Amino acid sequence: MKSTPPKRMNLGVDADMITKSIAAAQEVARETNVPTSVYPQNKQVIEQAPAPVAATAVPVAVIPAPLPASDKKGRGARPAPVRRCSVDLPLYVIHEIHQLAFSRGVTKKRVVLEAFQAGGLKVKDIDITESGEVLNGGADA
Amino acid sequence: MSHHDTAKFISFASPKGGVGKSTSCLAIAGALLSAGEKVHIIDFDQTETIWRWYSTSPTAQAIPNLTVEKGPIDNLGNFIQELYATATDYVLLDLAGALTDLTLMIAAFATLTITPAKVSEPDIIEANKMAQKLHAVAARLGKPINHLILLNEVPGIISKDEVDLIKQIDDSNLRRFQTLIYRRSAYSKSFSRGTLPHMAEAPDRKALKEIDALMNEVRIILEPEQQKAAA
Ligand SMILES: Nc1ncnc2c1ncn2[C@@H]1O[C@H](COP(=O)(O)OP(=O)(O)O)[C@@H](O)[C@H]1O
Ligand SMILES: [Mg+2]
Repeated sequence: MKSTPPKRMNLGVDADMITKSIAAAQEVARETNVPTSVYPQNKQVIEQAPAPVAATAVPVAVIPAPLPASDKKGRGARPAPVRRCSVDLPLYVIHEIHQLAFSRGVTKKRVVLEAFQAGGLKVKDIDITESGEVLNGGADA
Repeated sequence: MSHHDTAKFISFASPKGGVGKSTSCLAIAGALLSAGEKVHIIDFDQTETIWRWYSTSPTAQAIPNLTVEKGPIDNLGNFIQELYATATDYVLLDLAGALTDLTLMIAAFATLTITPAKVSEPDIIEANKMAQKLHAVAARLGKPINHLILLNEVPGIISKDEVDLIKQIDDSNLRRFQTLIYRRSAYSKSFSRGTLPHMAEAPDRKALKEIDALMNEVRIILEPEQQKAAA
């Protein structure tokens, strides 16, 4: 569908820029596994099945993502209970933990637990994955 | 007659819900309206927070120069083209708390995208994810995307950890507004009462002051484009 080019277009951004912006966003979404938003046509549908997807390979997220209906929490491994523990570390190490957590987009807890694990301490994977990263589906590379 | 040659599009986006997108959207709407601007809000969130705020409140509907509509379900590309062609003054786009292709598309085209976040690690991590995706889109596009974090619901007393976290943000390549939005009942009240902080019967001076400070920052970000457009 072509809409007539409005007069405002030659000021500021050109019409082409809009098309390019949308295309760039879609490309990045596709390449980095950002889910497609699918709005269910009516709300009753939400609890049943995700809306049908157009022919793309992009993962689909219904917004808001439907909660897994009464998932039996008792099954399988669960993260261990936690407790706050403070230790005195060299300031530069604290800084490095901060920076690493920040650049990776994960919690400090995760950075620390992974380092413990790599250093030979027994740390279960489930306690690491429960450490607050990738809250929205784990799609990130 | 509009004040500007091109409309300004400000989107409110975050991978997380409950961080204050709709709240800051309404606060900014109130500030713009009281400065005599026309404001059009588009609610893209399926939870319809702002749409409900508007459609169930005669007070909200009576606010001059404010219009509210629900965003489209599909054909976003066409919608944006059309919007860009016809919009005037300020268009505020309130998005769902999710990081999807729609979020990226809106942010890629918006003049400014605001990601509210509490001064807490998980919120900042999520805001960081958003920023990184937008960096990727901007790189692809060959044009910078204005994306700033808005620290919201800041408690009256900030702990040392919170100060550290703010420092960390400032050390990183994340951009944030210098203005902090504090936790105030003025924000939650305006929601439930179908009004806006700037238009409340008994406005909270401190809230208005911080919103105005935020608006000054917003204007500075939007201005360069305005000058380019005028040239
Ligand atoms: N600065 C603030 N002070 C007090 N309450 C706030 C503030 N910001 C947000 N809230 C409250 O937090 C809740 C979530 O805010 P909302 O704007 O709906 O988040 P989002 O749109 O990101 O999901 C609402 O109940 C709102 O009233
Ligand atoms: Mg909202």
